[in-house]
Amino acid sequence: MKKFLFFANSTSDAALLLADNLVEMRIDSDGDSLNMSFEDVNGHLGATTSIALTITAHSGKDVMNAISEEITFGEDAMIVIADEINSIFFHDDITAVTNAITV
Amino acid sequence: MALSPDEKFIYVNADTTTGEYNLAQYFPVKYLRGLECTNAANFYVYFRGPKDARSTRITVSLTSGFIKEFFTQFVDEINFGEKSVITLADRNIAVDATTGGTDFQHVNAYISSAILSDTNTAGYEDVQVSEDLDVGGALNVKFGVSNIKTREFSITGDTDGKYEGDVVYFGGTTSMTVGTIYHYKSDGTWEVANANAVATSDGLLAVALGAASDTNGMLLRGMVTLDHDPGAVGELLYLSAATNGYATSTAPVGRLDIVRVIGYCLHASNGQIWFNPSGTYIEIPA
Repeated sequence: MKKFLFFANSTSDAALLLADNLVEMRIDSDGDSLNMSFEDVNGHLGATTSIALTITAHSGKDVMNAISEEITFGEDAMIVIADEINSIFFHDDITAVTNAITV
Repeated sequence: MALSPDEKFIYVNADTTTGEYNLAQYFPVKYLRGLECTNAANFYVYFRGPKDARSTRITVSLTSGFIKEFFTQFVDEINFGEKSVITLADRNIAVDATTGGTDFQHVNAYISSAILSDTNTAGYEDVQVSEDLDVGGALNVKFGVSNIKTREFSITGDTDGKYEGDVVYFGGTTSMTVGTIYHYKSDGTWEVANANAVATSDGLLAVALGAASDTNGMLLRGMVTLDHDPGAVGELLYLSAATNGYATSTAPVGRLDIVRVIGYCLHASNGQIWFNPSGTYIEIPA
């Protein structure tokens, strides 16, 4: 099954990225943001496609663990990581997704 | 047997003429890179470009505000649909100017007629590198302009003929001495330069980088290690009238000698100089 990760800030600001192209999840220096990096959607060498999630401070490990388990063991092909249109988030500690998702 | 996603293709056709498929394309799902929505009424689909230099991007219109519904249906079709070819947008069977065939509920089948792809340019395509690029071999810029903010030169090593700079490979001359200064003759070959006559010191000068001009190259300008020590650090250097192929910090003074600046000395005993011959010279009167 080909799994996809869904991010939406609004109906005019959304992205659907392949889980297979996820290359890194990283927490920022004060623990309240999770950056998900993917192989560059535009195909540029040395570039990456990144989406930043706002998370509850110091919940980073729990969130990353939950996402990785869903990718590995989940049964849904489309994993909704952050859907601000409908206020649906994959994990209780994900509270927002970056404005202007640009891939 | 159910098809795997990677066995499927996505079909788009921007041609609106019935029965025609100009510029229609099939994209293997295995080369899908992602989807992006930046406007409530359309979205982009990215696939690996044919040259893998830039992604191919397709712009597709959808019913405004239904991006999540489309993404959901798209994922289902990719994973669980029974079609090996999924029609994303086909204007060929359009019932009016902007609607047409699609396998998706919220796509209105309008696609941009100009599909951004790296086949749009012949031969080469942009490659963007956001960090240092270390090239172990030759870097060939075939077309266009090279914009280099800083071009760093280092003082060369103490081996004769070490260099950093502008090099040409012509003249068909062999048996040259590495680290010696040569003059480009009117017959298109190189001869050892000497400031004792205009004929052997005017025009194009270069330092031999090996025995063969066309193979090893001739340095026109840059850092180089000569096969002799021309002076002290920082001194102005002239083409020598006393010794074939030499530079010297003492300007020629003999009658009919040529005074031509060729660079600056960077080391007193290892032969390293900045080679940058002046385009002008003075001839000592007879």
